Amino acid sequence: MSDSAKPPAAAPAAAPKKPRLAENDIDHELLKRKLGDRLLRIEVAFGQTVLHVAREHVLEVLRTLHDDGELSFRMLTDITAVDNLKREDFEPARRFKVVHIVYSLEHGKRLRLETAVPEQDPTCPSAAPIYKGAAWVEREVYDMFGIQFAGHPDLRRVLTPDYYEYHPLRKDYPLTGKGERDNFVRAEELA
Amino acid sequence: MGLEQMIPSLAGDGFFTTQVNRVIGWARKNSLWPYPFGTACCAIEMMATLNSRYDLSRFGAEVIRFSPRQSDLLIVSGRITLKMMPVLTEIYQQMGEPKWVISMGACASTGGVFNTYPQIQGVDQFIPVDVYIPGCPPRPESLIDALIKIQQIIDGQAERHEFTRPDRPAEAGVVEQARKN
Repeated sequence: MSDSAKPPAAAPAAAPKKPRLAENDIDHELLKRKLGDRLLRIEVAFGQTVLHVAREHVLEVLRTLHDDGELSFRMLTDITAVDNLKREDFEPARRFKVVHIVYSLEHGKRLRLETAVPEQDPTCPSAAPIYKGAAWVEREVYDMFGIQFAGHPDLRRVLTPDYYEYHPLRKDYPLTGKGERDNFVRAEELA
Repeated sequence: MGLEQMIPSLAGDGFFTTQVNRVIGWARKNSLWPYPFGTACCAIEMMATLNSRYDLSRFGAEVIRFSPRQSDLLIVSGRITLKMMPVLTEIYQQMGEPKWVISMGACASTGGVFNTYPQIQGVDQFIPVDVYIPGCPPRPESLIDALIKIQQIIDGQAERHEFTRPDRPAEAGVVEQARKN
């Protein structure tokens, strides 16, 4: 009996659907109504609602999400960034992506905000006036990606030393660095 | 004490001769005061070594000092990053002579698996190291073994190796100088 005579394998049974997390069940119409044309695009990625917002509208959108009683995203979970340099569809105008993750303690909903930041002018409005906790996480994003946060109260490096010249999580920075780790004075030379 | 029976010459004339080096070394090796430079999981093993199960005080080295000025054995246990290396050098400089250094574990000795921009690829590039301990992390027995080797060096039973390092490029140390300025 040759292999070709084998009956075709039965189609695998459909994987059981994962139950949707309640925190991801967000009324998109409500968001569209509240944010209007400041919302570029709304999508669902990995079950989580993602808002795409232009850089100049980030602060207004965050203010609305924070202050509006029906939304009340009062808690800032994190701010992080993505460097798209090595992506196939890379374009310098959208090199970085700043990601805000906010949570509504009142309604138990979570939301992600994505903002494109160009290579030439890597700045983004600081969320510190709205969320006090943003100050530290924005320092980390600045340290690792070199994205300036306009209106930040104290934008200094937080992880690497103050004299460090690079932003290590940028994709054009080599993993092993540019020789900083080998560049210290030996104990016997200092003595 | 029974010492008279153990040293024959004492039993007879009541005195014996030795070298000053040996007597001082004997005292030093049995009263090492370590400075624990613990930055990672190796430090957990170091703590285990100090606990009653392994009991480093059997070797006279249980008096952990958190001031470099009071200690004579530096145990570098863990990853040293580029932000930490100047601190480590300064700690080493502040220790009074004579002093010895143990580089504990793969990270302190070679950088370990972390071949990344902040990770120092071996602290021996910048401070002299007497004994290296392999392992990730090493077991407490390894640290005890390293301590015994340090004791042998102090006692003169083992040679203290001369430190030779490869030549460095002319611009070496500029980052460190920039930090100081």
